[in-house]
Amino acid sequence: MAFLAKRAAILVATILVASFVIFAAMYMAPGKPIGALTGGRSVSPQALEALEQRYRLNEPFLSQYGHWLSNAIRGDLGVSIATKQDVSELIVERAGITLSLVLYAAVLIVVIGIGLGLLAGLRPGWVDTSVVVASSAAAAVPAFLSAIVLTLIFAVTLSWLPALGAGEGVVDRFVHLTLPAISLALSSIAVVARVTRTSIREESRKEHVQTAVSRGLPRRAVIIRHVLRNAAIPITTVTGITIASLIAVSAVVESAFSLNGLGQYLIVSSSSKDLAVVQGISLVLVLAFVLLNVVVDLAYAVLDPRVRLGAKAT
Amino acid sequence: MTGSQPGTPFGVARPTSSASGPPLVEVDSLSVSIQVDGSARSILRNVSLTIGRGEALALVGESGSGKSMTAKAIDRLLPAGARQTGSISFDGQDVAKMTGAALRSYRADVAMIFQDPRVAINPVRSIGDFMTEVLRTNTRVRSRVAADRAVKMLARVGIADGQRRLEQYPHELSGGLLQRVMIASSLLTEPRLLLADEPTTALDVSTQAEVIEILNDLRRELGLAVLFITHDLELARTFCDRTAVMYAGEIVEVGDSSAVQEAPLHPYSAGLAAARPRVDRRLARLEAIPGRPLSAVEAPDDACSFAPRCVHRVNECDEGHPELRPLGLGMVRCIRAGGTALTEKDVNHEAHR
Amino acid sequence: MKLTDDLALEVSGLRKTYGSVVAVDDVSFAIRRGGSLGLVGESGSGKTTIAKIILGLESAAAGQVRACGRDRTAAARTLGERRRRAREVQIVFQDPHSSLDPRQTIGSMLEAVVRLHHRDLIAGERRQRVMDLLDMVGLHERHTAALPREMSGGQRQRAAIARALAAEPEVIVLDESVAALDVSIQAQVLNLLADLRERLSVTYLLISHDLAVVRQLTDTAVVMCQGQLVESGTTAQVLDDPQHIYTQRLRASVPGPTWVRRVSATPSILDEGGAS
Repeated sequence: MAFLAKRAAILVATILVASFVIFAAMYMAPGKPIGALTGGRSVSPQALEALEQRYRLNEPFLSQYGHWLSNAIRGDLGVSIATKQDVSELIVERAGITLSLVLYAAVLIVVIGIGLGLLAGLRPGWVDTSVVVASSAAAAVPAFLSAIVLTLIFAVTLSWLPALGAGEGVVDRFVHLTLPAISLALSSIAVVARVTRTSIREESRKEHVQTAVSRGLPRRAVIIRHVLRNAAIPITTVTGITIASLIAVSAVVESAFSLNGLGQYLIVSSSSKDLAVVQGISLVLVLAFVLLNVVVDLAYAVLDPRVRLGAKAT
Repeated sequence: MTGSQPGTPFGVARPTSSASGPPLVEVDSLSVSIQVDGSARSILRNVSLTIGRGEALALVGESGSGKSMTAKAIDRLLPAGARQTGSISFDGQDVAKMTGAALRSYRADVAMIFQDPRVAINPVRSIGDFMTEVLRTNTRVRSRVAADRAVKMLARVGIADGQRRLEQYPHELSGGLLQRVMIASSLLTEPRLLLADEPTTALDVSTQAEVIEILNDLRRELGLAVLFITHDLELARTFCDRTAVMYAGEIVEVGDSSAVQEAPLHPYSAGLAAARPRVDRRLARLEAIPGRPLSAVEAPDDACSFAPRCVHRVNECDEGHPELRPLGLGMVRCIRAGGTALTEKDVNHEAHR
Repeated sequence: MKLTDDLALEVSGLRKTYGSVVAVDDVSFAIRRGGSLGLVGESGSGKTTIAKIILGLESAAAGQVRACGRDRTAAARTLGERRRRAREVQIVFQDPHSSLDPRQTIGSMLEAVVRLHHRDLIAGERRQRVMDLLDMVGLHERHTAALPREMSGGQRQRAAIARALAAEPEVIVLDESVAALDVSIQAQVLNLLADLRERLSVTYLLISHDLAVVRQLTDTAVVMCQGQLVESGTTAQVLDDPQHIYTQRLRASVPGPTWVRRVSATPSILDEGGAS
C-alpha cells in the first residue's frame, strides 16, 4: 500500500503547486482587477479603498494566496466581480454541461478509437490501411476546425443535428451534444486508434506470445489473454491521458457551439478580468485533470504487477 | 560411477531406445525461405534429420546457421510468409497437414523452451496462471487440479515451495528459477518431444549446470526425445547422444556427440572445437576460423559454403555443392573428409604448412 | 621509484551500497603495468559495479581507486581532468550494438576521439591515425565510411576496441567484451586482444563469467561472490586449484569431461531401465 500512499502525496503536492501557479498567474496578469470593479468610472478614494479592502487587493501576495486557498478548501471560491454571485454556485450551474460533453466524448474515444485500433491491429490488409490513413488525417484536425466543418455538413446542409445550445431534458441534451462531442473527440479517436493498433502489433511480436502459440493455445485465447491483456497497459494509459486533456480543449468546443459550460465561461471571464471566476474555474479544471491522471496511474498499477509489486525481488 | 565409457558419456538413451520402431521425428529435405522486400531469402537448405523416441539430438551452430529456425519449423512456428518445401513428420503424421485441434494437440506433444525465460514468459500474468493455462484451456482440467499438478511438477524441477511460487509474478523470480518454471510448465502436457533452444545461454554458469542436470533427469524419467540447440559443442556432448552441426542453413555433419567433438569429420566442426578457449590450460594461440559465419542467403548453391574459410580447401571445393554423405559412423557434407578424421592437430598442421 | 608506480590500476577497500543492499564490500586488488587481471563473478556479484566505479560512472561509498598512481575516486571536476582520466582507463562493453552511435560512421567516431586527445594533430595526421587504429584491430580502410549496422558483430566489437585504443589508455576494462560473439569470431577477438597487449603493453581488467576466456586472456584473477572478493591468485592457481567453495562450484560448472561425471553422478530413477 506504499504505492497508494505515494500516489496520494504526489496528488496533494500537484494540486498545491497548480493552485499556486493559477493564483500567481492571475496576480501577474496585465490590467488591474480594480478596473473591472469600477467599470472604468471615477470613484472616490474612500470607495476605492473599501473595494480594495473587500477584495484584499492591497495585502501582500502570499497573504492573498493563503486566504484564497483556505477558502477554496472550504468550498468558497469567492464572489464574481461581474455578477456579484458566489463563484462556487456559478461553477456548479455550468459543470453539468462540461461534464456531459467530456463524458460523451470519452465514450466515443473508448468505443470508436479502441474499436478501430483493435480492428486495424488484428486485421492486416485493407482494414488496417484504411484505419491508418483515416486516423492520420483525423489526428491532424484541430477541434475548432472540425467544429466548423461538422456544423456545415450536419447542421447547415443536412439539418440532421442542432448546431447551437445544450438542449433541455436527457434526450434533447444528448442530441444537442452530439456534434460538439464528435468535434471534441475526433483527433483523440485517431490518436487512440493508432496507439491501440501499434500496441497490439508490438505485443503480437513479443516472444511470450510465441510461447503461448507454441504451447497449443487456441488463437482466440492467445489474443485475448496475451496480446490484448498486455497491450491494455499502454492503451489504458494513453486513452486516460487523452481524455484528461479533453478538459482543456472543451473550452474551444463550448464556444464554437455556444454551450454554457465551464470552458466557455472561463474564456468570457478572462476577457472581463473576473479574477475570482477565472481562478475558481481553473482550479476545478486542474483538479479534474489531476484526478483523472491518478485514475490512470491506478489502472496502470492494477494492470501491471511490476508496478504494483515494486521493481524487483528475488 | 567413475570413468564413463567413451561415446556415451552419460550412459543415457542408448541406441536401443531409438532403434525401437520408426523415429519420432523425421525431417526430410526441409528448405525454408522468407520474403524480404519482395525477394525470397533462403534460411534453411535441404535439412534432413531424425530424432528417435527418447533420443537427445544436439543442433550446434553459430548465429544465423538456421538451428533455431529448424526447431521453429518443427513446431510450426515459422514467421508468416515463410515458404517451406520438404516434409516434417511426427510419429508418422505429416506436420504440415495438421490444422485446428490436431495442430494444438501436436503442440502439446511437442514442448518448447526458450533461451531467455524473462521474455518468453508473459510478465503481467502470475506463474500459476502461466503454468496451468494450457491444461485449463485445452484439456478443461479444473483450476484446483491443474494447480496441484503444477506444484508437483515444480517439485520435480527442484522448486519446493511451489504453492507460493504460483502466486508470484515472473519479475519476482531469478532467471534460473524462471527457467525451471518454464521447463516444469512445458512438461505439464506430458510431451514426447522437447525443443530446447539454448535453454541455458542466458543463465549464470552455476545455474546452467543445475538446469542441464534437471533436464537430463527429467528426460530419462519421462522418456522424452530432445532437440537441444546450442552453440557449445562441449555442452552438446554432455547432454546429447548425437550431434548435428549446422552451417549456413544446412547440416554439415551428424554423428555421435563424442565423435563429432573428438574426431570431427567436417573442417567446420573441427574448427569450432579448436576455436573455443580451454579452461584447463592457456593456449599460445586460439585456432580461430578466419572470416565470419555465412548466413544461408549468402551461401552458394554451386560450391561448398564453408570453402572460403576452410584450411583444407582445394579447387574441387568450388566446383559443386557437396552432398551430405555417410562416412564411418556419421554423415558429412565435405568432399575432402575421409580416411582419417580432421582432428585439431591436423588442422594446425595444414594451417601452418 | 615507489612500488605503486609499477601499478596500472589499484583498487583498495572499495565499498558500494544501494539502499540497504551492499553491492561491493571491501574489495581490493591491483594490476601491474602491462598485466591482465580477470574479475570473475556471476550476475549480482558486484563485478559490473566495480567497473562503473573505476570508470567514474558510479561513486564509491568507501575505498579508493588509483590508476597510473593517480587517485580517481572523486568525480572529475574539470574537462582536462576528465580527458586525463580517459587516457588512463577505457572500456569495451559486451554489446557493441548499443555502445556505438548508430548514426555515426566508424571513421568519424574514431576521428572525434583522436581529435579530443591529440589537439595538435592536423587533419591529415588525424586521418592517418584513424587508419592505423583500424589496421591495428584488423579492420579495413573501407570501414571508415561504414555505419555500425552495416558491420557484423565481430567487426563492431573490433571497432569498439579501436575506439578504446584511440585514447591510448594505460588500462582497458573489458566488460564481458567477447561474451556475445560467436565461437569462431570470439577466438579471433581473443587473439586480437592478446596481440594488442603484447604490442602496446596495455593493461587489461577482464570482467567475465567465462572461465575459459579468463584463462586465455589473463595472468591473475580474482573471484567475486555477492559483493565480496572470495579468492585471488594467478589465473592458473585459481582455476586449477580453487580454494574457496564458490570458486570450486564455478569451476565444476564448466561443461567438460569433469562436468559430465558430476552431472551423471546424480542417480535417476530409470537409470537402469532406459527410456521407454
